[in-house]
Amino acid sequence: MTRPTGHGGRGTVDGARVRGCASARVRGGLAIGLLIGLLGGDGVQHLNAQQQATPIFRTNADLVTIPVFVKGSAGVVGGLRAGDFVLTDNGVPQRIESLETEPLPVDVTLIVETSRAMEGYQDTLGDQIQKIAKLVRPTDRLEVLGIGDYVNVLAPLGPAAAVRIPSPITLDGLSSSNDAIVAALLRQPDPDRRHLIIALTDNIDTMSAVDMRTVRDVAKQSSATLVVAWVTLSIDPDWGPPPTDPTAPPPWTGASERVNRHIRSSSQRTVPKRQQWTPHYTPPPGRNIYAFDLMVEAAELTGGAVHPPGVFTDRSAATIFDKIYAEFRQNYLLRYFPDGVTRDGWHDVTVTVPKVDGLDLRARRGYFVEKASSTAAATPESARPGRAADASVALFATFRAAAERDDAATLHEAALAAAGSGQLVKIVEAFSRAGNLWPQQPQREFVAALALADVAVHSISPDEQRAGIDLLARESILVRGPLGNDAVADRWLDAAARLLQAALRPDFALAVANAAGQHNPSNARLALARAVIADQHTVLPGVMGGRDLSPQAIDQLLALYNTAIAEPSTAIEARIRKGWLLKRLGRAAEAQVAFDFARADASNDAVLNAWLVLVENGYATLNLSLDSPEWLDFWRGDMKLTRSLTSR
Amino acid sequence: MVVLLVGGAPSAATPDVRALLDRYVAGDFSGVAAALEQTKDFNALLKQLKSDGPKWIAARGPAEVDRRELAAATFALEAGRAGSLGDWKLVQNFIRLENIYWRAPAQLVEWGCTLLRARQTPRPIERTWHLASVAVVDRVGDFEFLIGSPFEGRANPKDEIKHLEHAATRFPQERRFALAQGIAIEWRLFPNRRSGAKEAQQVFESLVDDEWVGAEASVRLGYMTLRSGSAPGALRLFDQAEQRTREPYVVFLARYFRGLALERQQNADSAERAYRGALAVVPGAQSASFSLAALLARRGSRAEAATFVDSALNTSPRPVDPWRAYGEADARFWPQLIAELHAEIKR
Repeated sequence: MTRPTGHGGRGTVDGARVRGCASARVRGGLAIGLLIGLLGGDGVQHLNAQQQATPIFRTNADLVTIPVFVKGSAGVVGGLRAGDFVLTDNGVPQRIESLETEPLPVDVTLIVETSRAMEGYQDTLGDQIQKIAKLVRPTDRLEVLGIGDYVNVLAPLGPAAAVRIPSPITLDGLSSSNDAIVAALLRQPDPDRRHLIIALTDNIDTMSAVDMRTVRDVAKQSSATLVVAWVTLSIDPDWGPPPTDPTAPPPWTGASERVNRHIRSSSQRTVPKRQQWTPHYTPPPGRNIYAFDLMVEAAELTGGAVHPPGVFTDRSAATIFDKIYAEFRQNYLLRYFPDGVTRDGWHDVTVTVPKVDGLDLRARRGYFVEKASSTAAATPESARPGRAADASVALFATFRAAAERDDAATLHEAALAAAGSGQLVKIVEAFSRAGNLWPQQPQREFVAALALADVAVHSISPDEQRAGIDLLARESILVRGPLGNDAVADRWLDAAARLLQAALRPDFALAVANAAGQHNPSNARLALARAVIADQHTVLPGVMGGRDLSPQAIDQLLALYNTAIAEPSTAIEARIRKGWLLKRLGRAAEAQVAFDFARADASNDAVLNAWLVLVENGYATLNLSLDSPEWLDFWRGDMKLTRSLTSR
Repeated sequence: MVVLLVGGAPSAATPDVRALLDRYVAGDFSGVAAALEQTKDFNALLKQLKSDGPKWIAARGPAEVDRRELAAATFALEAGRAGSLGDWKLVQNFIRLENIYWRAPAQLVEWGCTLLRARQTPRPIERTWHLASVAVVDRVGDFEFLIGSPFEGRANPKDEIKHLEHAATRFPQERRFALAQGIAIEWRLFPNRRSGAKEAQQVFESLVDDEWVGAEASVRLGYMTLRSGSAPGALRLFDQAEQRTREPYVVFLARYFRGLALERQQNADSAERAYRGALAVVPGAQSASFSLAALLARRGSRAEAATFVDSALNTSPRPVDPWRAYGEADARFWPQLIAELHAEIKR
């Protein structure tokens, strides 16, 4: 703990009595009253004018600088010399090389609540920030962060004179105060400047990604000085009456509570201007300063402090700022080269003035020396391809690079190269294992999957065919949007359906096509594909999945064709195929009906018309071998499909 | 003296609903939306819609009824959304129970719903309308509008709307409505757990294997599991999510929550990778940026931590952080859904 011991003892920075000091400040604040208007001319009281500290800490070329703020009963204590201070680093006394009192330039980060709870202060908030900007010295710089659902940069770091805050300020949701403080603490320091963070917030966080423990941990690493001035808005009378014990800490209403409760009277409430989702809420009702130990510790680790409501006599935000800012500049800078301690890691620092009793010292409680650390890869564990120590790793890298060029021809060539190497199954496996390679551009994954599957399903290797079909099955789930299929998904499924047909392996493909069709009943091409793949059973050799279909299976197959016939975009082809099936089943009259209907619609389509003539005339009933182009094309799918899609 | 019988133009506070509907059905969607944004008196708008809406729908004959009915219902939805952040409902204590009175914006949504439900057989576009209505209500954050008050006593239970029951009755196969029920129950479990956790868990568990909404159900169930203290169980669910979807919102949450769970297990290396993975989905998202930066700082990598903070604060335009939008859930679909409705009205 870092609190000074206060009066009566020798000045020290061990902070062992923080609770006592915090309690005293709260009691002092109670006299101010419970209604604390932060931003409209009211403000926060400074308790006993003795709580401020303004340290800086830097390590440059192993020269450590520790700012020390010293107060006595009569105010700031000047005139101390280096020899008056005793400084230890990890318990080892150090020789102070120099002592300076010259004010260094300061970078000030001002953090203000801009959550919707500030609605009543929307107009004055901007004015207060502009007033604060005028208080900042020309040599110093100012940035302003707003706390809402998000942490917003209201004014980037720069000369205070250039700060222009739009009025009224846009208010935004709840409070991410922890995130804002962590963000400020982690800004990369300018080695020639000190960094002061002044947070005007109630610290009742409801939205942040990080908790107060994290704030404390980060504060320990930071070179900035954090001062939190607690603010509160009008007290909610329904929240609870003021404590009867005047020495007890006051309850207060936080910003998030005002947003969510909107209590109008004891018997009626309007819910809400916006009922904000509140992911967390700490501390619980009845909280007092002790519930914020971690925040207090965070501030004190940096040499700063947390001021509860009521510690300033003037309550305006500009006045609060002015007091903190002025005291921050009145300190000693002690510089030393650490001696006799290990360089890396955390260093505990204590500063005392043993010759003088009754001093109140504030200094940073330590510093951290960073050592080089390795960083983890950007890809999550689950998205890392396996380390197969073979050529497939390089081939997969080549394929991935080709995919990232978003050029279809390059991608196809890369897939062919993978197939030519005999590593296709491994490449497909690596692709699947890699998972979500392009999370901002998932379409790229879908296109790449098609390119791989295109090559795989046309392979003569059953393993490669199977790998391609499995890949299509996996991606057919991922390609769908959360609300259904969009245009991209529909086009992708069209292509996938054609590839599944082209595989000529109904034993593998039918289940995939059926599953895809079941969830995409409006996709006509998928419906036709399911029929074609099922029909492949009736003609392909057993090794390719062909088998005699039962009468029920025949009926199901005809029903699938009828489904495709119902869709105009696939009706003609479906009629031709259905006619051809009926013809093979010996149902010539029904087949002729199907052909007649097809002819009526196909007359303007040269490709379909040619196929109709071919099938109707029984050309396909000749004993064509499996490698006959016409025979294969017929069973591989869409009659109008280009060769580039269905063949290698 | 001549008394002018022609009234002045309707003020922004009390718009002429028939005129707005004419503009809306003619395709002036953005103009009408802007007018609704300026509207102050949604009670008057609702009253006009109730009295004039049916006549306006029938005014162009049967051939136009479908289109005008959809336009009126969608107009009501947009009006409800425009007023939703103002006065949504009134809650009054009655002895130890509460009366809830729905204000005009909520009633506008319900009016549109009632209009569409009057058809015996829903048209496919009605599904889109109901999805859009859930998007509106999720933005308001009013689970009671969706599911009523199954966990609290209500003094006027007959006034409950239970909007999801309407939607699910019309489209019983739509799994998003089932998921929305789980989200509504989950919503009320924040910031502190209370009754309903078991029911929310049951809903999500019943959906985790669904091919359409299973990924999001897994993520939400995983987060519930994590909140209840079981990091290993949560991690399994987060891992499942990315097997089922590429939706950035869900993928980000799965990775981000995975980072939180791993941090809880003191596995900083894997947590760091998980946060980086989340930022690969939504660069500059504040939740993952700050979590990662804090983790890096604690491990001594302050310089790199600062770069993530800078990116989170300075990415322009600022990306929507899926964690910040976790409670708004289906509100993320509003732009897509309203565009589909507009397209159908213009058809």
